[in-house]
Amino acid sequence: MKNSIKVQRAIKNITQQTLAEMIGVSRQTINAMEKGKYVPSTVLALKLSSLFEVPVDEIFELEDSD
Amino acid sequence: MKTRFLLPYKYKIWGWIIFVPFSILGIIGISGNLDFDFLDIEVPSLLHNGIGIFEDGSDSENFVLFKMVNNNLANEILGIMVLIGCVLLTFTKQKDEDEFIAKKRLESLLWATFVNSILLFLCLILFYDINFFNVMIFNLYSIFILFIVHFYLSMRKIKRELE
Repeated sequence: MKNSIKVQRAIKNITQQTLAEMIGVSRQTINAMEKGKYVPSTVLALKLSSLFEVPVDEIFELEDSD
Repeated sequence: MKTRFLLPYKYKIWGWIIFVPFSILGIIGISGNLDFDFLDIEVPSLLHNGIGIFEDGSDSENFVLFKMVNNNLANEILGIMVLIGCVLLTFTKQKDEDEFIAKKRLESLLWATFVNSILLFLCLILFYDINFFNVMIFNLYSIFILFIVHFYLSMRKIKRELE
């Protein structure tokens, strides 16, 4: 699964640390998600969606391998 | 994220304080003799003389279900303290516990259980008689130690990736 968290974060102009604090996770979780090493739970995906003010499927996108 | 069965982070330091000295004492206790006279007391034994191998070939019909026996408590105390240390190190939250760390925790637990099974298999085919029981003392704690090593190394790796 691909995601555009890094892009969305750049649009909002916030750091990994700030984003982590805003949605209540650690910075390593944000980093792992941006690198595609961790697929977040639905709760976390919805939190990101609400924070970035975009639909979930604009942040996360399925790949052929999924 | 709510995580069940995990103690607060503040207990982790106690895990190290208890685990490190008592596991060192435990290793000394197994290889040498670490009995203290004042720890010699009578304790209830749930199953006494049950294992025939100590009785030099005698059959196991002579075991008693409940009996007061003399015992030096040193090894029991050591065993319990090492266990408490292991439990505190295994079942305490990280400072920044969240769902990603919970996933890493489960991965480490899975790995530790798997490797522990391999170790148990090797012990079963490589050690016999009383040596088997001696090795099994380590096997009682190996699943905790494997988990602790794997989990803490993976946490360190994740933190390094941030730099």
